[in-house]
Amino acid sequence: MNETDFETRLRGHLAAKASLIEVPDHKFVQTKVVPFQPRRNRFNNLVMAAAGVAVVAMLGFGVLQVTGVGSELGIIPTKHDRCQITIIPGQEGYWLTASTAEARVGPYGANVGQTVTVEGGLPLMIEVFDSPQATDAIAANTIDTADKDCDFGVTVSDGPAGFQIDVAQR
Amino acid sequence: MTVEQGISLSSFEEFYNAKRPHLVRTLVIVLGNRELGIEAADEAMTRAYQRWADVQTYDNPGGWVYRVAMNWARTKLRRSKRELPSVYVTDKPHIEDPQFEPKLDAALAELPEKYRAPVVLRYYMDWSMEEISDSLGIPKGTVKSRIHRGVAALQKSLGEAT
Repeated sequence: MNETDFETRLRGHLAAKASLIEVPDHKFVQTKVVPFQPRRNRFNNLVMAAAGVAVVAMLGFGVLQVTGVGSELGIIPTKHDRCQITIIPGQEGYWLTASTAEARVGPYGANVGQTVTVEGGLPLMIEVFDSPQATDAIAANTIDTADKDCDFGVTVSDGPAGFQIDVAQR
Repeated sequence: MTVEQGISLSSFEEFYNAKRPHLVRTLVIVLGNRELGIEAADEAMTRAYQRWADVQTYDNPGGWVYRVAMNWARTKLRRSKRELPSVYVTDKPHIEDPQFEPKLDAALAELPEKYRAPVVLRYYMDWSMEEISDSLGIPKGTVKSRIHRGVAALQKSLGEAT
């Protein structure tokens, strides 16, 4: 079926309009889970997470290892109903949000410093953006599981692309 | 070539990377709200990921994701007691692209969503009538009718009715 001149104009207009819409670069990362390494403190957690990565790599298991700036998607390895992640402002560079597929917790950028509730068993989306608010939650290793009943832990450390997020099952 | 063609959907990651930009832009245009469109796309993609074993077997996985995204957006708007916005928000000045027609854009924004959605899916996504029918959950004949009426309404708004 031949298009009319108007339909051709409409097609061109929509293409032009679409090109004006910036799409944020949310990268999808396939994630896996490793056995949890007990966490005593942030430094210890960092060390144990790094060790866990190395051990798991040697054993051929996967690790929920997320690198890069953008949107990162993982599945929370928990059977508990609710867990919490506390996001604490760091020094500079990034801000971070955490949410689930079913209930996004707060607007983007609004929950640095807040404790967000994450439903167990649902996908967890961890998003790290450059931010004028100048919080470096990444280098400061300040993503922390605040709820001791959670059966997963989140740690952040330096990685090949600048930082690394690990989620490990307890 | 349509957006849907020429892409092997062998993995979700490939699907995500190939479809998400088009999905976001389509939703932003149809919903008339950038943040809502982005959020709806991400929510729908997450659900596609959860059900990827089934979704990847569908004839038009992109249509399924679009439908899920629109349903999610409608639910969110209903819960917040908001109506679908009728005004677009664009990120950049549009004066550089001669194909962008401000009057046509305004007319499109005023078009009811039931006409705007099939028009955008047809003339931006380049989907077939069958694909639009499947993604909107309405008969093919209704799709044709709404596209025809939508285009006619746009022409009338511009004073170009035939």
